[in-house]
Amino acid sequence: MKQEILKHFPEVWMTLSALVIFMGLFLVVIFRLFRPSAQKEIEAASKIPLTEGEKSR
Amino acid sequence: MSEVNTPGNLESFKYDDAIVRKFLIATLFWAGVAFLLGIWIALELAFYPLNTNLPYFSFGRLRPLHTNAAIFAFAGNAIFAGIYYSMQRLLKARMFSDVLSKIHFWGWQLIIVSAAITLPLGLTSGKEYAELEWPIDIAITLIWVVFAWNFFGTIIRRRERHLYVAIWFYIATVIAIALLHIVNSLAIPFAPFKSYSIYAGAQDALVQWWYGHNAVAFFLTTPFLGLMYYFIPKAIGRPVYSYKLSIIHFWSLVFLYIWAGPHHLLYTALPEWAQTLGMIFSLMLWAPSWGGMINGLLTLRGAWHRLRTEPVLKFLIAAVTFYGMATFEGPLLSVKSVSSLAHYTDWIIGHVHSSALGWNGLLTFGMAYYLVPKLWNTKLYSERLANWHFWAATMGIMIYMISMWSSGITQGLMWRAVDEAGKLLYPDFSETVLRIIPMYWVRTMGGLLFFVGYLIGIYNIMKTIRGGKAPEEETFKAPSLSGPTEVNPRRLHHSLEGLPIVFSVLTLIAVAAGSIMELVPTLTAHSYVQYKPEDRFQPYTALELAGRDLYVREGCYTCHSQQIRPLVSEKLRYGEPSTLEESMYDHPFQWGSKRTGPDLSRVGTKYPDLWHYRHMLNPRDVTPTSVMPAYPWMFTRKINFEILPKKLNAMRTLGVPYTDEQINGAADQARADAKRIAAVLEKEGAEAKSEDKEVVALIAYLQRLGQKESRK
Ligand code: HEC
Repeated sequence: MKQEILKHFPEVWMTLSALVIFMGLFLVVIFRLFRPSAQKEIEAASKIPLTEGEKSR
Repeated sequence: MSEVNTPGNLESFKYDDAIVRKFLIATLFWAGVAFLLGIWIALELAFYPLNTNLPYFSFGRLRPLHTNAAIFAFAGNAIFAGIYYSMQRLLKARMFSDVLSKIHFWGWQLIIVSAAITLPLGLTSGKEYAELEWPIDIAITLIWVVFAWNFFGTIIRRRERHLYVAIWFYIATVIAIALLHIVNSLAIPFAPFKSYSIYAGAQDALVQWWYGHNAVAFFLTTPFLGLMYYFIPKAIGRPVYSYKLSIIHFWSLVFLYIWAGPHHLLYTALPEWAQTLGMIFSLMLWAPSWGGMINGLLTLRGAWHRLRTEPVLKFLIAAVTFYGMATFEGPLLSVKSVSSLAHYTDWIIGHVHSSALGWNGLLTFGMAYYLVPKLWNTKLYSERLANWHFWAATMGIMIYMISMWSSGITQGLMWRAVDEAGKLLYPDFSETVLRIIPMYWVRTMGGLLFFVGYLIGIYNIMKTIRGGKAPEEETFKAPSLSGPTEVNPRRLHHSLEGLPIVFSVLTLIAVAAGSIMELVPTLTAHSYVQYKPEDRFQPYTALELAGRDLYVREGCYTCHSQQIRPLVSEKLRYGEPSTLEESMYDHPFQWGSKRTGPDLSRVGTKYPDLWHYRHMLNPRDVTPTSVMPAYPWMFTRKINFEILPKKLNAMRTLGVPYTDEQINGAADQARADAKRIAAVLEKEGAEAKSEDKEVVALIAYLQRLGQKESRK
């Protein structure tokens, strides 16, 4: 039965292109993350939870 | 983008904590409901008389209520409480609209209440974790839109340029859940609270588990990870161990999760390439999940001693540990050979509870212990009690998990045990159930212990709230983002509003593209089914369809599968493996995911009608050791013949080849069929006058299972 079904799925290109697109996007994300220029921003971003804005009294 | 650092006008704003208090109280309330329901149905399995003879307390109707309460009422409200609290602070902005917040809150509670009413009444779509019928589905969609509107509105008005990683996780949740819910719930209504899924058989199975798995991913994982990335640094008072790792964690999950759904359908009639894909992506999830866990744990590096003294940290860190455990077990269970043993058994039940109680539950309670003193401006009433809560909960979960491992593996091994002559060692299904009943009692003890912990927690929290008072809203100050205008204000403003949009679109693409590639090939597989006319199945007769709807109404799928896997032992026990054609007209599919009772896909013609008649009235009558509930009400309630043309018509809209004649004559045909079955039953000794009773329709359906055509 498996062969029967597979006969009707010649769309291997679909799976392959998905793989390429996703891997590509993922690599872009990782690349951007490790740029030296991004480090300061990352450092700052990681501290966001610890500030809530200044209280004014 | 150095211009961003230019301070804008200092703006004053207040956080809306009233909405957080509301969601938090709702969380704690519904938690109790979900837990109690869980204990009740666990007891029903150990001690069948608790099903009573009332339909509303029957296992098949209460289990969907339990799962919906746990996921949407308990976890749902917890997510909203945590998101409303943390996002305002992470973005330094009040929620976009107090009115939208309130509509969201009350709308969501109304949805939960309507679920609590309709599910025991048997109004269900029969799709696991998406049982609610179409009017409620629409309400969910609307309320979700309100939430999304409020959510993105707040993001746009934020005073913090960078979106902290927790917000990313929330964005993924808002987008993915909308997509999943809408696609999976598409259905054709034929009555105020009844509809048929537009998908059938294997396609419905794929869509359903694409939904089911990703509901776990985007409702029970990503939002809670967002909470983890907020509350752990907050409770410890230092940033997360590695922010970079958290970003990698995020993108890997978004890219990988959406593909993993078919691991719920290993060894089914689903095309094998889809199964393999599901398995591989599940295995890949190992890495980011553990990266995330380690990231959470290491945030505490050098301050481990605080675990001893601070209950909040205890809960949060234990939760993350359970996250690690569950995400280790999940990929393991996706390996085909492991799945062949574990699927349909209690092992899976153990797995989901270690995640739901351990990961979602403990994280929620940790969050509650952190938030309640803050929101009511006081100190926690008793740290000692919080510790008691913690230990009761953790021990409870451990007992639960271990009992379910042992019962699942025991039963799985018994199902597949074959002697030297190639015969089943335990051909009697009930024998394999009887063996694990003791474990059902142990499991119930685990659940009870968890519940005792919960009660201690509730007492502690109520005392805390009594001792405090919701404070006046404080005023905070932060520079606005669209600040002074000397540096190219247009561009700056543009990029600020643009960022979240670009981000959301990227997430949407990742989720949607993965979904399309996974779903489309199978959704178009219908064309293939028509190639083999000799394998085709006739559509159900009107009476059989009526019976099938009763099967759905009673939630028989919570205990019975209709899917025989291509394994030797299954073939010996149940017959030939299931094929795609068999369920091609099944809107919705009823393959099931748990076998508390045997598979039913080939039960048709296995027993005489009278056997089923007696079995449904009292299973112990024919199978003395059975734990199946009795269904006496099906012997007094009448079949709704009049609605049958509407049902057949809805089915035809969905592609089931009924003729005009069949549709118009549906009621009469069904009456005639019922009469014939009832006459034989009566002759053999059943009660007289059953020709219009529901049980007759159910029998007609059961006898049709696995048969290409109806009985003449
Ligand atoms: C609480 C779990 C549970 C629920 C809910 C449940 N069953 Fe069962 N069922 C069992 C168990 C256990 C057995 C095996 C013992 C027996 O024969 O009664 C069984 C056996 C059966 C059998 C006999 C199968 C065979 O091959 O011998 C049929 C038919 C059946 N159930 C139909 C139903 C229908 C129809 C419903 C819904 C109206 C239903 N069951 C709901 C647990 C359940």
